[in-house]
Amino acid sequence: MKKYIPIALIISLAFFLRIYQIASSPPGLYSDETSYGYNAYSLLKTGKDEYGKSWPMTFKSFGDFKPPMTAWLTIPSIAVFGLNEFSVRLPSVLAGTITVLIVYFLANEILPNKKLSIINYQLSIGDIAALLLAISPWHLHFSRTSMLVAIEAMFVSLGLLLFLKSLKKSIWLYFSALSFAAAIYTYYGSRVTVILLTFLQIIIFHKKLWQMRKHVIGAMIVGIIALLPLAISFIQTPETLTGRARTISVFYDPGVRAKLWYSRSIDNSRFFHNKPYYYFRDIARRYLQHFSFNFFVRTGDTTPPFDIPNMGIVYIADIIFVFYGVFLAVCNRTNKSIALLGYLFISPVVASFTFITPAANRAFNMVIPWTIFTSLGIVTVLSHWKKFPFRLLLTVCYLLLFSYYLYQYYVRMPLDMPHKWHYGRRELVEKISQLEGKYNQIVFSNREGPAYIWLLFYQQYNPDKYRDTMKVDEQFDELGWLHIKSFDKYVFPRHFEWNAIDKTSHTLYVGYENQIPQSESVVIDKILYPNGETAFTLAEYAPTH
Amino acid sequence: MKNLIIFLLLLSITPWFLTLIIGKPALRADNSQPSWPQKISTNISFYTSAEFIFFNGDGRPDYGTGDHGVFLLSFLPLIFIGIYHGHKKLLSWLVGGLIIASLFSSAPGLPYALLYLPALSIFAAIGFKQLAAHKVFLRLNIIWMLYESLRLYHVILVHKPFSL
Repeated sequence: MKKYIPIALIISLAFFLRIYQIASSPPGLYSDETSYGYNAYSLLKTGKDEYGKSWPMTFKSFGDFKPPMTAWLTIPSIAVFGLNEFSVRLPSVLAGTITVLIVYFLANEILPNKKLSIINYQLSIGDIAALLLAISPWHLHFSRTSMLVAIEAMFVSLGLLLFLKSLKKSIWLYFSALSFAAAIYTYYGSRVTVILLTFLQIIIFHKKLWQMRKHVIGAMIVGIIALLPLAISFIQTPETLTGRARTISVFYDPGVRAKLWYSRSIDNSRFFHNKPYYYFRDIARRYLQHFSFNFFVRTGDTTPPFDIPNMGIVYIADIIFVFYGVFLAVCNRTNKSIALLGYLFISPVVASFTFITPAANRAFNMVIPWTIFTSLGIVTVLSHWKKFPFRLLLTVCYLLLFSYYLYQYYVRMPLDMPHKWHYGRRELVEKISQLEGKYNQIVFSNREGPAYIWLLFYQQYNPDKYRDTMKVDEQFDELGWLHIKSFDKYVFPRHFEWNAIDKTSHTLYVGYENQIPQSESVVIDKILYPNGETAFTLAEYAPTH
Repeated sequence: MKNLIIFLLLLSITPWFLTLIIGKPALRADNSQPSWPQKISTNISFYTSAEFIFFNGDGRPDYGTGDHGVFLLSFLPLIFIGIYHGHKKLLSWLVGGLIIASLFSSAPGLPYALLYLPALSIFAAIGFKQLAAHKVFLRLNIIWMLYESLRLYHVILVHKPFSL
């Protein structure tokens, strides 16, 4: 019983770090989180999504056809706690905490003999791995938001753990198949990651799997049955399978085509300048970006809202230990450690086929093997360097790095990047609710995200009423987004350009600073960011002003 | 002797080496003061990045082709295998060279990278030799390398004069 005390404390710490100030940090509620929240609310109240589709296998949402699992898991949370930031982020918090426990078991399963003695305690590698994941900036960042990948990583890592367990007790194979199927329902990336991971496991453990082939076939049938609703939905709605993948893939990006065109304009040699080679190089380049110092330590993922100010996604101290851990895993390789290495190298494959790289979210599964290899490096080094000062130095080093992360996350992020998290929408909707009685129409800017979703969310707008009054522009834009033109008295021009939009009296205009010229308007109110800068301006049209 | 031949053959199709011969870049150290620790972090990031090593190299015209890194991409598996089979002294050279380059170069680029690039070339040669035990992979890698080296010479001879 005593050996479970450390992991119990680590799980408590992990949960605390994930739940603390969850409603207000990150500042604001990102558009995707809001969409999941409102669609879960709509399902809870009416059994239909925002477009009126009953229990869909894919949510049309902003035209990005979101996978369904996150919305399903959010329904109980909304039923208990209501429609707010806390209930939307709670499933990710719980998934993140459970993942810490999964990593504990996974590390102990793969490296059972690695132990570390500290004072009177015998810590397993699982304890160290769980602790590292509990304080990992990368994992914390995504466990505190409803961004799918925290839940997906939980299912993928659980699937891998159960698979490895099944090599001793076959019954776990069925649960592994279910867990992988759940990952496929959670995130589009998993539709590739899970297949590659399964394929790798079959190659590595083919002898053992052949011995238990009846259970393998049984587990495959379970997996197929679990995925059957998705397959049926795919026949009805082809977007169910790939979502917005087409518009974010490297093949859609004009960069490679432009480079090819430039090279051919010089000598027109198709032998040297051809699409297969250029795309191969581009994908390889993007893949390797996920193993760069820049990505891990310096800048992280610079795409909003996945960046943490002034730091990367892991601690700099991890770098040496992870290299050493991987080196040890290769040198003393077992089938299980190769499976973990495979997990590390498969995780960024999906991200490499998109043109926004390196991507902390699409390659999020990397954090699991990363943490286990780092802990392997740390445990091995500390087993050799038993002197107290060195252990103290390492502890102090991690504490300093962790403190720096907390400062960046809780202090700098609300000041430096509130707009990236769509801060100010709650305050804006509250203000609109006070003022809207005076106006016939309210016109919103959609510049930083589809404004309609926050109105629905924060007003807890009746889903049936919304579907009755909504007007959709069914034409997707070049990046694959749909456009909601209006609902109720709210209007959302595709491009909020002051000179182009209709301006009438008894209309309230809501835009970002500089979108509404002061010379032609009277400012009614402003919504400010935490740093005092203007987020939104609420104004009336006044041509003679 | 056989090892040396492999090493020299691979060197003859390695972009960083060809750049030294063809581009004739100035290899003087830039003496302006670096600002710690931001600079060191930038340097480590640059010298260890796949962009520099395999894709873009040093961006300046005299210091690279702009279309290749300091190694061909086909060297990547060789370097990995070489590091895995290589010995500690060589690894010390690589790490030491990287640290010195990162600590002392005020503007990251090819000149300081020469402190560790030869170590990587030797690792590639070791990797190539190790790969010989796996004929299929060796053949595939040779075909890939051959294509990329032809392309490298094509870029140097046809594209480079055009860009200048």
